[in-house]
Amino acid sequence: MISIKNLHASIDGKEILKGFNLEVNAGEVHAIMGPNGSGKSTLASVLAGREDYEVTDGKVVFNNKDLLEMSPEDRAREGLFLAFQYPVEIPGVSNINFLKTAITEIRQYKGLPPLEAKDFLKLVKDKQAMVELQGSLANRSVNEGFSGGEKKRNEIFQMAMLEPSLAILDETDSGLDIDALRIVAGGVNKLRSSNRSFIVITHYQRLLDYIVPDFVHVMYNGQIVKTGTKELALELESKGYDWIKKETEQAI
Amino acid sequence: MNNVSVPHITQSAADHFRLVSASLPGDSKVLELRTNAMERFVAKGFPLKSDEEYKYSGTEKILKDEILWTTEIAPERVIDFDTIRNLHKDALHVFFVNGELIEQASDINALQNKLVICTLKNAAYDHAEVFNKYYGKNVVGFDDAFAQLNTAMACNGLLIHVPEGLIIEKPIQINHIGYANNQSFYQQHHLIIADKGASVNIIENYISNDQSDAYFNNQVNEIFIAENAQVKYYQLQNENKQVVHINATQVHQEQSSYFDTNTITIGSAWLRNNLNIKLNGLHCETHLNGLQILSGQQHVDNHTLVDHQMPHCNSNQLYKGILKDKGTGVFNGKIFVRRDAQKTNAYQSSKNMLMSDDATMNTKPQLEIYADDVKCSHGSSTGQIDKNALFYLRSRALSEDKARTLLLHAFAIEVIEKINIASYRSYIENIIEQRFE
Ligand SMILES: Nc1ncnc2c1ncn2[C@@H]1O[C@H](COP(=O)(O)OP(=O)(O)OP(=O)(O)O)[C@@H](O)[C@H]1O
Ligand SMILES: [Mg+2]
Repeated sequence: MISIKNLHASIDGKEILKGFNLEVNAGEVHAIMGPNGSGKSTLASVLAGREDYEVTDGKVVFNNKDLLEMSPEDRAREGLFLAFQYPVEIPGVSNINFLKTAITEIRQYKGLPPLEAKDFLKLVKDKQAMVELQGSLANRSVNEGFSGGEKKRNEIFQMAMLEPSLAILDETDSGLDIDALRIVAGGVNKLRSSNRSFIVITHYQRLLDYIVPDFVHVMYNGQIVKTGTKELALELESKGYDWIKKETEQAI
Repeated sequence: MNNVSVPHITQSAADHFRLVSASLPGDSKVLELRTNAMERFVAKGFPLKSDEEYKYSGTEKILKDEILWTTEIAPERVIDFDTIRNLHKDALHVFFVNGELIEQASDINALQNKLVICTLKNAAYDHAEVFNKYYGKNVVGFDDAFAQLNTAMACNGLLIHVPEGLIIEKPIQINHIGYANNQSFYQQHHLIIADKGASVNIIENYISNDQSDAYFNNQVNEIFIAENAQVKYYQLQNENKQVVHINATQVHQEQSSYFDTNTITIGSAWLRNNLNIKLNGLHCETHLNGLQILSGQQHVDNHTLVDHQMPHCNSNQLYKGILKDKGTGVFNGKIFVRRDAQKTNAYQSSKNMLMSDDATMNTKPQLEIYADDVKCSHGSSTGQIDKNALFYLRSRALSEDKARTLLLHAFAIEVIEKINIASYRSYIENIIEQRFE
């Protein structure tokens, strides 16, 4: 699905990703944990194509294509989706109209005609029900005046609408109440399939009770420093990161 | 176009006035008012950069060596009136070509019979009392050279008089089609009078017949709104990018009256709007909105003045600009609250988006408040398109162009939504949409 090799990226001359490696196969769920500032959101942004970052080294192959060569929109059309840690508010742009445009663009890229209006509306209804997003939210301007939790839920709604092959969820669980967490995780689980993969960035083991990962990675200082299974998340929950930081520093 | 001797043109205006003054519409009192206006114009001359009110819009660059004070309609030009009509079917249409009414193409005869709508020339005979009473009265206190020049010389334009209690539902769309040649300077002057409890919606649509005609269009609109009357007055300024356009709208409001204006500017090379609103009664409400979308080397200057003379009035202003290429914009908004105007609510906001490094916006809000129990505020902002929003939309598969279009539309819609005539609003939305692509 995606293969990230020796990825180096910097912003304003400061190196944030320092040789990041990760292989995600179709159908897998990978969790990335790690202390604040270790570069998790940077990784997500670089993969999504944010131009503020300069990639200085490394290679990313996504669905057999060179990801780093593509524009952000082409990455999305190829099936990459990033649920942002901090979704932006866009007053005046209606959620539904924008999603309609997005779906049309993706279909056009794949050589498909636009969805019929009634098929689109049905899709909206189904996916809205799936993440229990209130109809009124879908019709409002993108994230404008949404609560923190509503914004996250809207990200998952959009993910469900766009049906990506690889979804990166950047702290989608933070800001969600317990019920919302269950609903959002349920939505993600419904989307799990043998040809769809997830990279789930989180600080809390709790999310991984709902979305059970195949692998858990710890990111520190721009690299993956430890990889395990879901038990690693439990260990981190009780022990924190200090022991990993120490291990890493000793290794250097 | 450059290096002109400005006094020479001023003199040519005065000479022309002397030649035609006796034949201009109006009685001897009106002639006196016209003569005074001419004198004031000659004393002031065309405004230059050194004039504070024209600091960013000095006319040095736009005046021509030679000006023709009369324009003619060339018979070989064919104008497709029906196409213009079909773009906004829900309105009554009136057509002017180079400032002259084209009666056979207009809906004037289809109007309700109590409503008066006629040319200034006819008004001076058929509605002499009204004409002589109102003509120029709203311009006297406005010390602007162009408005004075227009008031002195204008013989074209409309009198629209809505008698007491009459409510005109259908908007009246006045279409101005210009194709005058390069030296032409045409001037229209409307008198719009809504008597007690009357209501009327007026749209002015400015277009050029083709892309090469360059002319000077200097218009004055005097709007009198009596007690409990209501006027909506919308303009679409969409002439070709060679045209110089100056527009002064002078509004006088009486008690409990309502005025709503919306100025959409997408055309012209150089354009200046003056809006002067006098709130002369209790409980008046006035709304001023404007949107400008500029590209190339367009220059657009919006000057507003809301003069709160009486207590308990509300005014609201929202002006937005999208400036591309080397476009330059000016917003100068003044709110004047007189000592007696207690319980005034007056708000003003100017928001602008610069789409290139070469675009410039100058904003100058001015509040002059002499009453102590008022709520007034102003704000202005000039920025670029939101990069985070642009990336967000692109990360959801929208092309950069589509994303930009969507964001510009979102920015502009706030002004367009304030248009209170549904059919006209969708007409404007269609036109604006094309500007974002
Ligand atoms: N424009 C910038 N200039 C310099 N440093 C930056 C810039 N933007 C981000 N950084 C730094 O990059 C580092 C990684 O940030 P990033 O947001 O990727 O961390 P994170 O792992 O997602 O953290 P968190 O868990 O808090 O979300 C941080 O130290 C941050 O301060
Ligand atoms: Mg982060």
